[in-house]
Amino acid sequence: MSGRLAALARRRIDGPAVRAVLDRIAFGPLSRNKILAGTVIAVCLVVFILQTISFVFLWDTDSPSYYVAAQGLRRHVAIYDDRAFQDLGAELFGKSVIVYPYIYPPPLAQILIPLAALPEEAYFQVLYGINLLLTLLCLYLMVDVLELKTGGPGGAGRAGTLPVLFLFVLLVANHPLEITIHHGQINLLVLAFVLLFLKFEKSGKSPAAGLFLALAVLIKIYPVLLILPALFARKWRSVAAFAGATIALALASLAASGPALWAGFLRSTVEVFLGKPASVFIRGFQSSPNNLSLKGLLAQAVSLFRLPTATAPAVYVLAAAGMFVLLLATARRTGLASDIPLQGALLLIATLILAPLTWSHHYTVVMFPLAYVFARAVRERRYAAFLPFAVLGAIILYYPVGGGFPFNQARLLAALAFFAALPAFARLRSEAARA
Amino acid sequence: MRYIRAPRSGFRAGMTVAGLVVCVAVAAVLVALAVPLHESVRNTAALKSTLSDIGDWNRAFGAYLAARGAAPSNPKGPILFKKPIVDELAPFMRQFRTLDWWGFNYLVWTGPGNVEYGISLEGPADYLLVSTGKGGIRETWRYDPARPGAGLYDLTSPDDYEKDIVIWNGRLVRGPKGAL
Repeated sequence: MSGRLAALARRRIDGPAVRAVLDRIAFGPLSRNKILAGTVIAVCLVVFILQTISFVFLWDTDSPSYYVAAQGLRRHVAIYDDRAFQDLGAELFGKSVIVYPYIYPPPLAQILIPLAALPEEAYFQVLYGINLLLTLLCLYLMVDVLELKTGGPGGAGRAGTLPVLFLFVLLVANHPLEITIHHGQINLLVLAFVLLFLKFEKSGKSPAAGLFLALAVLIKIYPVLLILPALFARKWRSVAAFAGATIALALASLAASGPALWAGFLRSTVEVFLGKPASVFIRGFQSSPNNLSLKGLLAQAVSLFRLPTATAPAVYVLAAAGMFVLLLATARRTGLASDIPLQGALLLIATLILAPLTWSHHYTVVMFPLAYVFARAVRERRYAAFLPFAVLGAIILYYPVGGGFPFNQARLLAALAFFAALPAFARLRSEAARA
Repeated sequence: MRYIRAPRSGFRAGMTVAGLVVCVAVAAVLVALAVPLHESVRNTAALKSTLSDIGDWNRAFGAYLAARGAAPSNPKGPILFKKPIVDELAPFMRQFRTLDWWGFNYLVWTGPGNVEYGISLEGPADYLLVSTGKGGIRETWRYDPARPGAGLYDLTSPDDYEKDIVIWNGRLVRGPKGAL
């Protein structure tokens, strides 16, 4: 017995041996077993529903704000006037419920008008159902955009069902997604539009791509960054399609609700983000311990270390410029110009870092970059290269809330590291492909 | 052409099962040490940041009192964005946080009629400013006028981060010694 143990201890598990085991998991018959895959998917879905079903009754923060905004449009209330908005909120929910100001563009409130015809309990239940369906739609679109089933240039190729199953595991192990559904947030709709943009951009259908990016931008402004690759590559057809769709949709919204609504939105946005001083709400929220954006980190550092206020904007601009210089410098070597999923993965992370307010639920979008890296690591059999991303992904998805500065910013710092490492990962791939 | 160094005599690439077991054991020990250390450092940083915030609120209260002669309007409990106190104190603060660094709302009581922690607020300029610490649950601690320093404590165990931090009219009556 001891002899066998000694022999086992001396056995070498060098690279090829470990790789052979992982190859067997990734490419062997087990990875093609449809019954096993179906069971894993079913279990993940059941666990996910069990994790979130109670939120139908425990709604939180954001959905009351959307409900009040949509109700406000039904009743012709000036929803960007804070006092009028709060009065309506108090009438609908009572004064004990904090209703956050509505700082989104008008189209979100407009598309929620039909839902706002429902009593609030029914509205929250329907919103929960919609979010579940949107979650599944996002997974489907990620499978499509990353070509996880069909293989192909960006796909997992012969890797069987493993990259698809990874997405479903991410569904269960994803705290930001859980919070998104708890808050009744609208991130998943925006992510679905972004993924539709990537899907159509990949297939060269610029009008459809432009339409979906415009829809995403008119709900939350941050996806506007995704048009940058088209600008740099001088793909004017894509840029024109996006600009045209944005203008057309904004005009339709204007025609539906009148110019006063848009004037109110523009005034509030200017005051919120550019006003001096910014509104109390934004000034406080910007430096909140829970604001996981670069601006949040800088606002916290400035106030805690009593730095000159001008430091924060200067560092912010430098950091943003640095990120784009990194992308431009590595674009050719990483194949960034032609790899639309990679562009999407990088820019989705960039939106998290650069948006003025990034709450933990916004980090839901990290599912896409993680799935991107996993699929490619498996396809190219570079398993070890996935490990740093797995660690960063775990921090982003599961780092505990709270903790003093800078520990409260662990998710942001992990996102920054993810952003910096992704071009290196892509570069290794193109070197391997050339070799 | 790439230069590839030949392996030294007797040297073989890769790792044995025994080596892997040792590595995993060392990693497990390091993780076991790092997790409590990380928790402790996070809590220390949270306390430091929270005390910095409380200092900011306290200075804003002082400036507001100097300007207006009375504390801001009369909130009872959590500082929330839609309460008048935030708008009233905002001009006296550069940045402000309504949450402490464990994620719980700061609590404020102002003006006559409030009795909290055994402290009775009697004048219009009286105020209490509180962080409920790591757990977010208010302590049952009561202020003893005969021993005004009895609420101050040394940080000796992780449980001390659960204790409240209480400022009464600009003076620390419950919290780590020498914190303000």
